[in-house]
Amino acid sequence: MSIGRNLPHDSAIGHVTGESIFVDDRPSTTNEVHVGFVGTTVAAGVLINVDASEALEISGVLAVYTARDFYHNRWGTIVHDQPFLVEDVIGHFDEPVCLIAAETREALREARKKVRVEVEESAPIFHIDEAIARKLFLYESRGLEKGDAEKAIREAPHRLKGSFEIGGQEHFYLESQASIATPTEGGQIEIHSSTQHPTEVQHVVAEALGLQQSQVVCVVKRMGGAFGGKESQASPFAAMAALVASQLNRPARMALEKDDDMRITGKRHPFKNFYEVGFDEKGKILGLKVQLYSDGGAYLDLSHSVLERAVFHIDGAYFLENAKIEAAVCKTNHHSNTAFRGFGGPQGNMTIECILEEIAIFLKKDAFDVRRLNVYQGSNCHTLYNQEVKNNTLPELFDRALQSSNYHQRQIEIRTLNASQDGKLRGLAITACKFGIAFNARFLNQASALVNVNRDGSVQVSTGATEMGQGVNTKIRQIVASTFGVPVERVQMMATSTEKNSNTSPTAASSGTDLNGAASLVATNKIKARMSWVAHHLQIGTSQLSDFQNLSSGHDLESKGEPADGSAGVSAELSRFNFSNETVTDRKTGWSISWKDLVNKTYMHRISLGEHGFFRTEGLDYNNDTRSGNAFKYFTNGVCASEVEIDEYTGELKIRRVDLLMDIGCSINPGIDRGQVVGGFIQGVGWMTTESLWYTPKGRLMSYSPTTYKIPNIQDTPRDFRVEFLQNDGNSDGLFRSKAVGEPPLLLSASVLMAVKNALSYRTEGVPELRCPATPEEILMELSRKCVNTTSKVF
Amino acid sequence: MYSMQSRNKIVFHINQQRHEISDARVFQTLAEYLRYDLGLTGTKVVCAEGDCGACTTLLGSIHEVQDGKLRYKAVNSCILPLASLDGCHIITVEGLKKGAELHPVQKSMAENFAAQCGYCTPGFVCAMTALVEESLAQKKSCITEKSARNYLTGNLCRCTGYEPILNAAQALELSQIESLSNREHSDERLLEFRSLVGQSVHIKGEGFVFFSPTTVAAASELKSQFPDLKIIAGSTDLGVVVNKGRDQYKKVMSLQHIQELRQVNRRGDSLEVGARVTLTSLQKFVEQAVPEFGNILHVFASPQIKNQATLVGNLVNGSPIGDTLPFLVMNEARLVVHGSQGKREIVLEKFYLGYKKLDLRADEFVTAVIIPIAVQKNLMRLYKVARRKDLDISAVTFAGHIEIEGRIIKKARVVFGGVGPTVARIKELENAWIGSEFNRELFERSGQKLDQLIKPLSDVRGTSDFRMQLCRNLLLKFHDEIAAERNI
Repeated sequence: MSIGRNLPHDSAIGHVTGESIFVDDRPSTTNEVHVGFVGTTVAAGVLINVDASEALEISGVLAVYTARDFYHNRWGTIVHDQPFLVEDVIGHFDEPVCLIAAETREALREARKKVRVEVEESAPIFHIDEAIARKLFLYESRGLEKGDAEKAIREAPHRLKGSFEIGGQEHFYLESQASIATPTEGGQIEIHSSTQHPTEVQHVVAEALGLQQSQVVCVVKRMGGAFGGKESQASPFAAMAALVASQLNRPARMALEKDDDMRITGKRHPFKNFYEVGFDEKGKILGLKVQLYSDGGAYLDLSHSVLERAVFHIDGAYFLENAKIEAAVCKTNHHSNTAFRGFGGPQGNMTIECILEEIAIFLKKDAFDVRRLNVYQGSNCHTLYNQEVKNNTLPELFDRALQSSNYHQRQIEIRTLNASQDGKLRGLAITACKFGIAFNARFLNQASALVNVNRDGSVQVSTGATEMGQGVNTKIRQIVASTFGVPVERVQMMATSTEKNSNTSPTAASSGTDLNGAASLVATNKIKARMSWVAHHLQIGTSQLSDFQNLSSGHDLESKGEPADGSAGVSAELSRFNFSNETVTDRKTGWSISWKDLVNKTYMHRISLGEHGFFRTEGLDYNNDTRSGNAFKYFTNGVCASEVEIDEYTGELKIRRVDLLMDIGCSINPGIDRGQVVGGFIQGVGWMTTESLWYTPKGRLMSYSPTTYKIPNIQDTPRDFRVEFLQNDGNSDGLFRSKAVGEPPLLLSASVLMAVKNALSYRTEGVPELRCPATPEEILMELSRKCVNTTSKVF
Repeated sequence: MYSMQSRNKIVFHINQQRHEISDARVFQTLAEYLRYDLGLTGTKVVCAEGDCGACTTLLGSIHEVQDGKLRYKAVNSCILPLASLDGCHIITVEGLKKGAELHPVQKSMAENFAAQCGYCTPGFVCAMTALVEESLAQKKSCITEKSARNYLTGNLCRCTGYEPILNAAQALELSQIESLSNREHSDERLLEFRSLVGQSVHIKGEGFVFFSPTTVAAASELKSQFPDLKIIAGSTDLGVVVNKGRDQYKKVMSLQHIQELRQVNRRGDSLEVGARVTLTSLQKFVEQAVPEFGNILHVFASPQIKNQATLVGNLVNGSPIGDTLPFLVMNEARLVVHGSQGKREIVLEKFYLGYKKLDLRADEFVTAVIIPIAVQKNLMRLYKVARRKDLDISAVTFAGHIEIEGRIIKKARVVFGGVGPTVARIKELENAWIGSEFNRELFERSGQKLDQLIKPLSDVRGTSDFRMQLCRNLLLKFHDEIAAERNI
């Protein structure tokens, strides 16, 4: 049984030896051309002319393409509002206006410098405030409402009003966007793309070129990181490569350089959220009003869904009796912002954490006590959209973290240290996450998988899931191997291809394993049922081949229901066959046959050893008209205590200690999951502290490489970093009682920001304002603005 | 004339295979050569500017032989031109396996979940192997968390949060590992490389020329003859500029084979650091002699960069935010310059005429920097403030030094970087301090005067307001730390 074991990543050996193949590692083929783009030099305005005559003179440059060359030049996940290449109106700086195809990288590089782009500039909009004032919205949410927030706030003993600004975040996947398009025959195109959503690539390419979807195949072996940045935004580059491939009838490779990728692709949405909260003396929230505004950039992309998830996570881990939530996506002249791990959830969650921290500071109470008072518990377990928080581990998580982090004692020590005024300022905070698992868009909660058993007993599995490092293939491999009772080495995870599974959903929303693992299990169990039937006949000595005749029709062999725990699929009678240790044994009689023999016999009797599995998440009855119901299958919960130290002279920040506690149910692979938890948290810490997007006044991104955009490095991982998992086998809604883990831990990085706020509260009069990221500049300027303590050593 | 005994090719080995280059490919980067010419795609290119470490490979240079064997160090192959590889053995991630057997570092990385997406992994594997090589050379028994962090600062990972990578490093059983120095050793290779270094190199072709002389005199003659020759030492600066399309390698002279430029000499209270001394070598030297400067070098750049880059290179780059500059300006370091009119010395501060404008004629090149280090016995502080502690270009840098008798300041030096076109001493403050009583009020007053003395800009690393506030606070920090140290 490999489920629950710490098996290394299924590509671990390939990764450490450099043998793993990424898109741009694929050997160049005969005639292959390189594709690059030229972008606009303004953020807003109109494109007047593209003059590529000089570029075309360079030896090796084959062609230059503009918007007119696409059959259909618009794409978008829901609304097709984004051009591949600018037609007339310019959306953002560096937006592609033309493509260059060249025989060598050198020629391409030279040619890109020689294209003259003529534009007529107009006044751009960059700030959320300005977009709000002018009501420039790409999307307005219907919000959420419960009780009477106005009245509750009005009648509350205390009120606070404020705003919370959160910056964007660059994905900084190490592998930049890359696609190779190869024309095959009859106008067909095969694309190797670094995408989380091969089906969307297939569809976007087909539409861009005027092909049927059946004429396009998208293959994804793996990605060098994605984090949401390749959910929608891999598609345009695939379409660009495909355009060149089809025009020249030659293979075309488009692998972006990091600087270009960072300049033009969308990022995590910046948000500015306004709130008004009423609360009692203890800090219990009585009423809450929030308006969330995200910066969607120039086009919609996934911004509406991201905003909705922010709205659905505005409660964080806390029960709200009266609330009114409104939200809109602002249209600006930034790159079109997109999915990023957490998908709006963090921006919602951080807002409530920030409000609770401020309530505590205002009441001069301990912030833990205020949070603990408000957390979902007892009968207060219904969300703003009326979903019950079941198997609620939040109170237990809070209480355990309080103990294990020695929270109260440390707060006392911090108070003493901060009073000593030695230029160091410390803060400590515990925050929580309750992350809803399922795509908000219900139709996406489906998956399919193809499982093929070969005659030597080895198994190939291909699903709609794409591997980006998160280990989805490793987990699926464990599920299939466990179910067949074979070692994982017998199970090979194959590249994801739209040829094997079509109409798949993106690998996103933390649901890769939940959906595709379940679909694989369905397929595996179907094969297992047929093999059990064969075993049954072999045991009773059915010798005539004709006796097996009915087997291939097979409907009676498969169970009807397919519960997520994997117990069914094999009918009750046949479940007496135990598949383990590469042997199939009748538990009742002790009769047994080796896995390999049974596979071969199954084949010889003309019974199919391949199967397609389909899965959809049941129970998602959320109704968008009433804005109520079960929007999620279950919640993944966690809490985190972070302690920080600030240098009061410079604003420099150090994380002294982190205690992270998560409930991820019964893990399918604890080693993989720990990697998700630690990696997600640190990625969030980067967003909270050092990752700052900086644009010129004209809107060009200047933090476009690791020299100027600082993601955490190995020195930034806290020296004292304690990660623990709560024992919880009560999540009957999860696959093998596991819980999805990809995004939730990122939300816990809010604890770092709140710890900074806690620290600043020792020096500022009233509630400290702190925008995210809390860079040394942000911290120092707040200290110098608000410092009330005249004996303090800084100005 | 320069032509005698010179070769028209460079020679290096990759994963035990011999390679010769005698054409324009001398300016191709190692990473491109590996990926496009040899199909060794394990080495990845992400940033193409030496800041992420994904392209890390191991390099054993004939110039750094120890106990008769090559020592393998981590370098960034994305900014390393093949020209710099003459007499080097490169080991890539593909070359680490021994037959079918994984290198212990590879095994440990795989077993400890240290690879998720796998894109940064080959770079980490090579960097960690370099750490193993160094640890074995120093006869260490294990790899500590601290040394793992210090050695892997030059590699970015976006997936793991680094914890499993640190675990993988610490799980290594050094006593069970054979060093690459031993494993890869070949007498033949060493013999061939030794024969190379005494010979100068001259490769030319259509639109390009490359020289690699073996003496300062020869280099000086070349530079006089061809004033437009660009000088490379580690090429960590020019390599980036070329990758970003802002320059090209056309006429280049490398200092790699000039032995006399690889020396650090202590002369009385001064250090003379040659133009081809890597920052790694220098750091080892100054960690003892000038710990404060050692600290700055420690967070200044990654091991990969420091294994290639030189202090002189950092100085002739002329950036106003060079982290080494405040210390050197404060100590009145001098540059040694060779040119057609002979040799001259120039005080570093005077060397900078404006933003990236240098007092250096076309026929001249810098061969060494002389650093007076006596000042370190006194009260000195060096600060650098950046968004991220390690490997981040500073918003502001500071160097300060005072001598006090009783409570009266007798001598003062104060230097800021990042607040103007060049790193500069603030003489007005120094004059105000000398003769004054050392107290907090003096430094507060200095801070209030600052906005008349410096005019910091707003850019990607900080606004002018922030920089001004930082400078004021750093003056106070300087006071407070010295007051605490002296108990005054």
